[in-house]
Amino acid sequence: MSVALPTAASRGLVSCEHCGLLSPPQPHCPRCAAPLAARREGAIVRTVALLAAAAICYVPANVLPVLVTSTLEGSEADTIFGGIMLLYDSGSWILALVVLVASVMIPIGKIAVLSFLAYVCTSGVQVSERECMRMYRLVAFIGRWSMLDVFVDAFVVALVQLPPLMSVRPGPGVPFFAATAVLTMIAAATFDPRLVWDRLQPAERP
Amino acid sequence: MALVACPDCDLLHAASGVPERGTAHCVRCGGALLLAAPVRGQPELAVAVAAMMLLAVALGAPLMRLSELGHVSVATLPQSAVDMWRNGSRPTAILVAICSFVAPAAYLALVAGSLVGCMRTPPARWAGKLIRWCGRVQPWTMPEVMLLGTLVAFVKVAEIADASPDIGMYAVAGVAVLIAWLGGAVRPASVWSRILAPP
Repeated sequence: MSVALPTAASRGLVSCEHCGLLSPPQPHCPRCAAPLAARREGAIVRTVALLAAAAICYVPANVLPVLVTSTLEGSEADTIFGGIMLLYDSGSWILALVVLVASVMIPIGKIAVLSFLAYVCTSGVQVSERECMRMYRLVAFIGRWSMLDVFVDAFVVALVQLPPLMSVRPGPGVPFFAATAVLTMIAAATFDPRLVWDRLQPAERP
Repeated sequence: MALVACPDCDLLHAASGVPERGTAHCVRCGGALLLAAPVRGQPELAVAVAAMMLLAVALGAPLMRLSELGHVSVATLPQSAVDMWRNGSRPTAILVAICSFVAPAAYLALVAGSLVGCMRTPPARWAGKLIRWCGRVQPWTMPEVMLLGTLVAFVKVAEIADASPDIGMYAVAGVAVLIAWLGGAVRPASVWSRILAPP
C-alpha cells in the first residue's frame, strides 16, 4: 500500500466539504461560500485536546450517581453501571447489553480509536489505511448512541414524579456523562481522515 | 469530465456514469463521494411536512404514563427537559432539549425551506444557505437515540410501577424514520448543483 495516486491536494485543488466542488485554494468555496481548507485546521491537536477532556469527564460520569431515587423508606443513588445491573436483574438482559454497549463501551471505544488514529497520523507506524478508515467510519456512525443514557435519565426523571411515594432526581454524574458524549462527537467531526492517507504522499503533505 | 475528490481520502475521481439516485464510493477507501443526485422537490417536501406534523404530535402528546396507587404521572418531551432543568442539571436539560426536539424541528424547517427555494424558477440561492445550516444541525438530530432511550426508561420504570406507552412514543418512531429518509434524499451537493452549475 504505497502507491502515489492523484489526490486533489497533489493537483493543487481543494474539495469543498459541504458541496463537493473542486476549486483552486481560496478562503471560501466559489459555489456555496463555505469556508474552504485543504485539510481541517489543526485537526490532530484539536482532536487530542477534545479526547483528553472527554477522558477526564468519563471518570466522574461513571463514579458519581446518575439517578437518585427517593421513596418513603429513604433514598438510593445509582451509577451508570448500577443501572445496567438493575436492568439485567429485572430480566431484560438485551436492554442491559444495549445500555452497556452505548454507555460504557462506545465512549471508551471512541476515545481509543481516535487516539490511535491521531497517533497513526503523527508517526510513521505501518498500518492498513483501509482498516483505519473502517474504524473511523464506525466511530463517526455509532458515536451518537452514547447519548442514550442522557435520554434515559431525562425520561425516568420526568416520569417518576409521584411524591411522596417515589421521585427521581438526576445525579451529579449526568452532566459529566453528557459532556463525554458531546466531546467525543465533536472530536470525531474535528479529526480529518484524509491525514491518514496523506502519509502515502509525504511530498505533498500540507 | 467533472472531477470530484473523495471526502475521506482526497483521491480524485472522474464523476461520470453514476446511475440516478445511486451512490458512488471511493475506489481506495470506500468513502461515499459528494455527488449531486436529482432533487424532485415535491415528494421530499411532502415527507418533511409529514415529519413536522408527527414532531408536533410527539411534542404535545405524552410519551408514557405511569400509575401507582392511584397517582398518575405523564411524561412529555418538553416536560422531560423542564424537569431536568428544575432538578438541578441545567446544561443536561439544554442538551436534551436540543437533541430531542429543537434540532429535529430546525432540521425539518431548513430542509422544507430549502426544497421550496429549489422548486422556484430559477432556483433561489438562499436554498443553498438553508441546506448548509442543515448540515450543521443534522448531527444533533437524534430521534432514533431518543426512541431507544424512551424504551429503556420504560423498562426501568415498569419495574417499580405500572407504566404504559402513549401516542407520543409512536410519533417519535415516525419522526425517526422520516428524518433518516430525508437525510439520504436531500443532499447538499444536489441542492447546490440545482442552484448553479460549477463555474
